Amino acid sequence: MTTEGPEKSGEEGTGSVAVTSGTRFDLDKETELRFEVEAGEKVQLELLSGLAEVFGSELNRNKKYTFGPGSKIAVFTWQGCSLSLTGKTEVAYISKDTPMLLYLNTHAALEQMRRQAERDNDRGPRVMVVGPTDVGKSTVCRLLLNYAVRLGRRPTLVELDVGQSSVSVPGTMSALYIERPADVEEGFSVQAPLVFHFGSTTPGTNIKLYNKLTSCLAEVFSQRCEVNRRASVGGCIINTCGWVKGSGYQALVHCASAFQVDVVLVLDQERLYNELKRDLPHFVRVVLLPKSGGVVERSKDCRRETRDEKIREYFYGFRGVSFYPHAFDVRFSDVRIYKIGAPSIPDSCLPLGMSQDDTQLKLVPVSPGRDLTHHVLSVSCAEDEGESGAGRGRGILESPVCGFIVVTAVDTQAQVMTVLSPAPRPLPRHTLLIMDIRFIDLK
Amino acid sequence: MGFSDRGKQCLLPEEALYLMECGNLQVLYRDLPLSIQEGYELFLTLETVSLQQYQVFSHLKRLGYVLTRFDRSTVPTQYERQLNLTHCRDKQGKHLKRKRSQSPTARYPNSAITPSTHTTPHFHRPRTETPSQGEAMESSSNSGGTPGRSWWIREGDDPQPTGTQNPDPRWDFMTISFPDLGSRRTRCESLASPEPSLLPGALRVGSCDVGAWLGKLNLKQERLSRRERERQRYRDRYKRDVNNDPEVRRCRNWAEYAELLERRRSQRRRERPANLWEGSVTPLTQPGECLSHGELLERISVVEPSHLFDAASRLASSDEWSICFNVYQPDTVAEFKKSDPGRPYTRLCICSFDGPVPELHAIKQLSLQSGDVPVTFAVVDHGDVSFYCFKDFQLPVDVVS
Repeated sequence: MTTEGPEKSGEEGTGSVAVTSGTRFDLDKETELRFEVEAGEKVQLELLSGLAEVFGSELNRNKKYTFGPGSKIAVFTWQGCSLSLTGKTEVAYISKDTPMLLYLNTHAALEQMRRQAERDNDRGPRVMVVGPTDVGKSTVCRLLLNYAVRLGRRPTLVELDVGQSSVSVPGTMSALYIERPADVEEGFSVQAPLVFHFGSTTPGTNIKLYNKLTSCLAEVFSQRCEVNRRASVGGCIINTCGWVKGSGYQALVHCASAFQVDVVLVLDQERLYNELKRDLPHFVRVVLLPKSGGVVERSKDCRRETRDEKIREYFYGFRGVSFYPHAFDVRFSDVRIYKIGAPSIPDSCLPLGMSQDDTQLKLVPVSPGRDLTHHVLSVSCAEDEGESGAGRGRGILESPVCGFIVVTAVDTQAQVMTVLSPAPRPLPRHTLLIMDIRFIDLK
Repeated sequence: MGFSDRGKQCLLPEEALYLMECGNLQVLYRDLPLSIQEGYELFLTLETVSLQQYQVFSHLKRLGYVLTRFDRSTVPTQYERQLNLTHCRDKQGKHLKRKRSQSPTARYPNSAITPSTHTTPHFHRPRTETPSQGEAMESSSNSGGTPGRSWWIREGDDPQPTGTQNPDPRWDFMTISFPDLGSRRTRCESLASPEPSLLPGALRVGSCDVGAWLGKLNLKQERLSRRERERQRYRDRYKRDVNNDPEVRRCRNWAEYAELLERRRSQRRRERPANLWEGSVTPLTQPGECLSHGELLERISVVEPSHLFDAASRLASSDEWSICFNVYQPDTVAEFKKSDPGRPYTRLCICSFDGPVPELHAIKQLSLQSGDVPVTFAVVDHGDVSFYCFKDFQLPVDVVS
């Protein structure tokens, strides 16, 4: 199982598939078929008989699902089924050894909590999924969300993994209200997520900002729960990043208290389990779960590619066919570009008695230049006021993002930059936040 | 030297004694010449001039200075100075002086009285008056008497409310069972199959053997760098389970837990070593209170800066200290006229090493009396005379905050 769902196959889309007679797999009950798609290839999956699901989303019988190169898929069946795979797979095997039953029991427990919440007119379970990298955190989240939404619940996915966000582009922290199960190929439909700009792919670059945005998300989620009864009962499932040592661990504890989580699911690490049991109050249930044997370790390159894919998907849509981004010029004078976090200075260079705490949350104006090229910029929802007032910096930090643009070219002479934008001009807002992430539009 | 009164040449007692000592004057008393010893006894009395005053007088006189008795009314006020009334004032003063010289002894009513020592030392006063100190005292009295703290403790430690309240958290995890591999390390059991209505699509699944999964848990040692290992060792040694704390155990939800943490944080701020904070003398500042060096220096500067003329006019005048003489420099003797003495070089206040040091209050008052002429303190120690004067100056400040 992978954390990220199917990948796009290329610009051709679903059109031309070499139709060869598929390999047939017959699965017993409570087993799963795992397969990986070779690079440059795509694989079609068809459910011939029985019932099966991919990460909690049910498959329709006799519908062909296409998975792009690099996809790592597990098709699980509770009752037994027959599947047909067409195309070149790197590996394809049936495994009886899945922790799905444990995950299902976890879901059952959460559902019990939701029932109790519904009965007592209280808030539903808030679950934090933690664990090191490559243990299937995102997959477990997707699974639990799918099960919940299939029972008519409306859970919220809180995505705190800034490196591999399943909701928005990397470098963001987001929350998504789930109303229908994830699409087998595409994942959850991203209708109106709440996205905050973080700006980097690892929380370590600015842990202060990370914790602050975590608190922001928690606050917004709580507000939502107050007005939306279903969201409140549905609770939330928080996906965290795989950094579980040092400050990363502290960030997890902070997140637990900010969201007031009820259950912490620890995947596959006893140390983390023991430490969280020690550092979280007793009314928080900390649960250790095994990871699935199907989880594959992803290399750095693989992660970078997924990130790139995610940004491409933002502009071009899934498989690069659904959206058509716009390119237009933006005058430097029309926008204000900021970077969050001033460069750190050694303490010895600071005036006496000054501490450096506040620099990490400072908004630093960036003068547009050639080095801006290929950077991803977040368009902040913060109101465009005249000139920067006193309390405005905080507002920008805490306001969500309404979209992203990529700078494709900078003309310093004409004082304009060309941007790739999901919508035609003009920009809805004029406050831009710069990310460390670059995106080069090659395809 | 001397003055004329109703056509008679008169001498002041100290002048007479000085001339006697110089051998320039013979005083007949009851038709007998007065010896110097008798002169001392007769002329230097409490009502006239004290021995110390005479010692200073004769000392300076011998050195060639011109000394006249100080009369407060001859000093123009600042207002008069501003209006340039000095001249007319001088005339009046001359007139006054002549009149007043009829009773020269009356002008020294208490010159010989040693100032009493019962007053509180003035330098200590601003210390108790500074607001910061007042606050510190207040808060320390809080911690000293522990009214604020004990209230919290009473609330927390009182078994009565916790006994009646339901200490159970909202979720009963005994009935809501999670497949937790961590807590089942010791005993293997299988999970009962979940109720189908809880599962999507009304699934029916069998029971789950948790025991089988225990063996499959990731037992691989986590790779940690040296620093991380050290940090972990430190954590393992010094960090205790938060749930060992009975107060934490009593919290039922995050709101209560957060409240407890906040309470502890503020308590820690209030908890201070008793030996420092419970006495009448407390530290002027505490860690974390001052953010900059400038602020800290300001906090610990108990002696407030004061200028000689600041608020002096509002001070109640005391009689313990008074100016005795005007002093004119020897080089002006040739032009010196008693009718128009001009501005003195300095004015003298006479005191003794046995007596107290003048307070800021007295110094301010004397300088106000003296006006634009500096006041010198002549301190007598068994015939030795030392001169001191106070001048305004600015203490250097290290940090400008």
